[in-house]
Amino acid sequence: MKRQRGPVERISTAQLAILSGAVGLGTVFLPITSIIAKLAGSDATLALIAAGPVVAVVGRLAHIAQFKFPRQSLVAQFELAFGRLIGRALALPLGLATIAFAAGLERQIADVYIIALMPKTPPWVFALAIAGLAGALAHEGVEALARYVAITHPLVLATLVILVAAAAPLFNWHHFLPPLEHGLAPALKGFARALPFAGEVVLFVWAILPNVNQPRGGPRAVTLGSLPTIAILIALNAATIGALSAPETARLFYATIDLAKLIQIGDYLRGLEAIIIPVFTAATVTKTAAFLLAGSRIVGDCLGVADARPVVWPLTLAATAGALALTKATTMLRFIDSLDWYVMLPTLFLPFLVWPLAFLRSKRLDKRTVRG
Amino acid sequence: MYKHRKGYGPQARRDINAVAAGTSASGKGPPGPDEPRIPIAAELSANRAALTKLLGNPPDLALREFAFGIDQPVSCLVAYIDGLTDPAVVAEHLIEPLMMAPRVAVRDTALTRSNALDMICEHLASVWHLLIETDLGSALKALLGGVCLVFIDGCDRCLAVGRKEPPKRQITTTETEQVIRGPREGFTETLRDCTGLVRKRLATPALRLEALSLGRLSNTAVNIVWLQGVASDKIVAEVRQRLKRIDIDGIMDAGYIEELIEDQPYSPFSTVYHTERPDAFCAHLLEGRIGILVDGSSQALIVPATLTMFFQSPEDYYTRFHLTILIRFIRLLASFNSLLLPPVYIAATTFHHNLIPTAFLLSIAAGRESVPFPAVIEALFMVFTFEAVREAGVRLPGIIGQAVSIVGALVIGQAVVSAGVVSPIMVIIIALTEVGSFAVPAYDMAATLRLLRYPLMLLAATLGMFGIAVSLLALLIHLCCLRSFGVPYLDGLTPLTAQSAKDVFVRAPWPHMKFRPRLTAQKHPERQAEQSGTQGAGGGGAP
Repeated sequence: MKRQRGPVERISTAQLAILSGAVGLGTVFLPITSIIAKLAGSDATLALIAAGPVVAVVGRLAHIAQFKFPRQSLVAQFELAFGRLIGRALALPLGLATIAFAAGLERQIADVYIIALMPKTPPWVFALAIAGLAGALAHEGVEALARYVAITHPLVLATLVILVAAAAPLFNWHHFLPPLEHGLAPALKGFARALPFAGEVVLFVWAILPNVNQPRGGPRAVTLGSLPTIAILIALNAATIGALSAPETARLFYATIDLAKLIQIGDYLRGLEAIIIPVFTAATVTKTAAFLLAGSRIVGDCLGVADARPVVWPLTLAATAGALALTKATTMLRFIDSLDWYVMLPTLFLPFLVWPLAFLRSKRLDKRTVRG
Repeated sequence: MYKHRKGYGPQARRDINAVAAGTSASGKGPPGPDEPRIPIAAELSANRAALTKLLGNPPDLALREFAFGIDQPVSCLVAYIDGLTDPAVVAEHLIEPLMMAPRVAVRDTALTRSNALDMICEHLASVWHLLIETDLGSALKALLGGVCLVFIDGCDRCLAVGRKEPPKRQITTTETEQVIRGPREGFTETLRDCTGLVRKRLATPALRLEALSLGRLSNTAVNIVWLQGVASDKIVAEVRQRLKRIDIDGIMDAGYIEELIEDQPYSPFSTVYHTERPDAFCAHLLEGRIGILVDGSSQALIVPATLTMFFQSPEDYYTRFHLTILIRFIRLLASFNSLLLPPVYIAATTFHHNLIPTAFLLSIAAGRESVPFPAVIEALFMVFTFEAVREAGVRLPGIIGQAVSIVGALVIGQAVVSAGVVSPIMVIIIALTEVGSFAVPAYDMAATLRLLRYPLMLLAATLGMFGIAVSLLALLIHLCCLRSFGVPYLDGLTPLTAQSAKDVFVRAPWPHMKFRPRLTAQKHPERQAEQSGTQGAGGGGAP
């Protein structure tokens, strides 16, 4: 018996807010502390405090820029700006890079699990499990994803808040002193490194904006949703460096897990690294699914597939297989790092390039239509 | 108009033989509700023979042939199924008036063969339900439905008199959804009793009932029930459409329909809610949901169903909200226990020892010292044993069932620990788990949690907390994708709005529950007037 779907709703601006916050947080809370600490040392927290508002403002501006094209997909905007062929040719690598990024995350997460929990388990077990979950979620579309993060994101945030609070007894102010010891340069490096993470969010939200009920409320929703994420990342960074010191944080791959291992309050609150694994898995699935969804939509649009669903599984499996082929974790980290720098950072500024062009072109087309 | 055809023609005889042999006249399987299309013969003996042949001359087929009228005696044949139709009613309201007819002057019209049927209809039969049948198949269907048939000699029509009054049980207290505070009445297997119980609670013309007959052979009466102006027309149409699409030989219980109309029959989660309580049924109708009542089943179906419904009890709305909040919290905790306690124990003792406080870890180690099996085998053994004891207790008669429970609890529980098969802590874990499953109000959901526990235990034993996390997330993703008649299964939970939050984890005081659920009652979402129940806030009282 064939079933029919009843009333179908788009996602609300409130769901967009949670979604953008969840995608922004994603798995970032694991590596960002070490990455920024490597560049900025004890000024890492300062770098993040500076980057937070910039990320929020740039993200908001990027979304304001899309008011003109609220219901148009990213590829449609590219086509409007650059023409059909060139627009698709430019958008396709972006979509593929997004899928590759998602697969890279799966591989990276597998390493996190191997390092933190189960050293003897082969990485493909973790990578395939995450790929399966994320693929299923991406296949179901943005509404299912919004429902999923509405449940998981508050849990992720709450766990991180508990982690930061539990790390308070380990906090040492001296790990931050003296501030700006080596001048502004290290802090600026850390600041710049934080920006690609905003690019990731922009790319995702740009891809799903046509699904939002009231696009006009989008920028505000994205800003509001991003604020808790930015706040918890800053707090987590401060807690990690405060507890472990900047050199120690920079030495570790995933300092958040080491911070969790260190925490012990009495004989009862300890072993938090195992407790944060479910939460971390939920966040991983969110981010991977978000990128698979965004990438599949872009690729699907470029290939002229009306519904992106058929391309989700082939792309997910191909990308996961590719990521698993890169057996060395360090290679994968370098790969993701380069994606961040060369794809996600330019993506952050892409709306400001695409939108004026698309706007001018649409004006020209309007004039032609009127004359015609 | 009478054709005075004497008996059944060759085609009709072939059809009767085909039906009597168990195949339809068209040769496409068993006879359907509209088959066979055999015109009724005018000759009584032909009809008698046809009925006997079609039903296989059953012992409960009562046939009485007699004549009435003085000047022109008219022969007639009365047929009914003993046990389905009350013989006293047939005698008192049909046979007696017919035999007395010659002595009664009916507008100076003489009773003849040509007007006998109309005379019986209009003046003689003192029964409420009366129908003229021209087709033997329809007449047969009515006969099997508990109706008495009257054939008149020389007339190619027959009368279907009376109505079905099958054996039924009285309205009693529901046994599966008991409450301390609240109504005790439960639905019965008789459809009209159920609709009566609903009408008693919702005495409004807005209550709509639509009748359907499902099952080619069972012809089960099904009623769709909804509140016009509250329920969404689209969902009502969808329910109607899905029910009409059912093409099955028989419906023995509402459970058949439940699986046939579900959005995803392969999901472990039921997307159709069922209840035995008329108060719960009516409360759901008031929230814009649609009910399905099935003759022969005491379980009423409610659609669309959402996840939160399965964790709520009707009593939640009858007791003070403070207590309800506490009970709902305990229920939620118990549900998590039921699903997660054994897997988390297995993961913690197998992979994550550092999660367990040292003193407790030592205690567990001491308890497990003599146990030769890994934790997962212990857990599976205990869970299987408990399920077997439960199943035995349900199937056996009351007193023996209790004895089995005692054997299960004392003998097995005590013996397996003494024998070193399982550790004492595992017995406690399984006991808490099973108690948790009993705290879930909906049996379906409790069973689903029990079912899902097994893969979770196996994944916990192989992948530890990661296995639990992955399986929980897989479940969550599945729930996010589920829909019940177009309404998301997690509606109310996500998106969690200020209104929906009032009746999910907590239950707000009644004066604050102003609105019905958003997606089911789209047309008139207001449950209460703005001023309703607000006098308490202003310290109102007698002037």
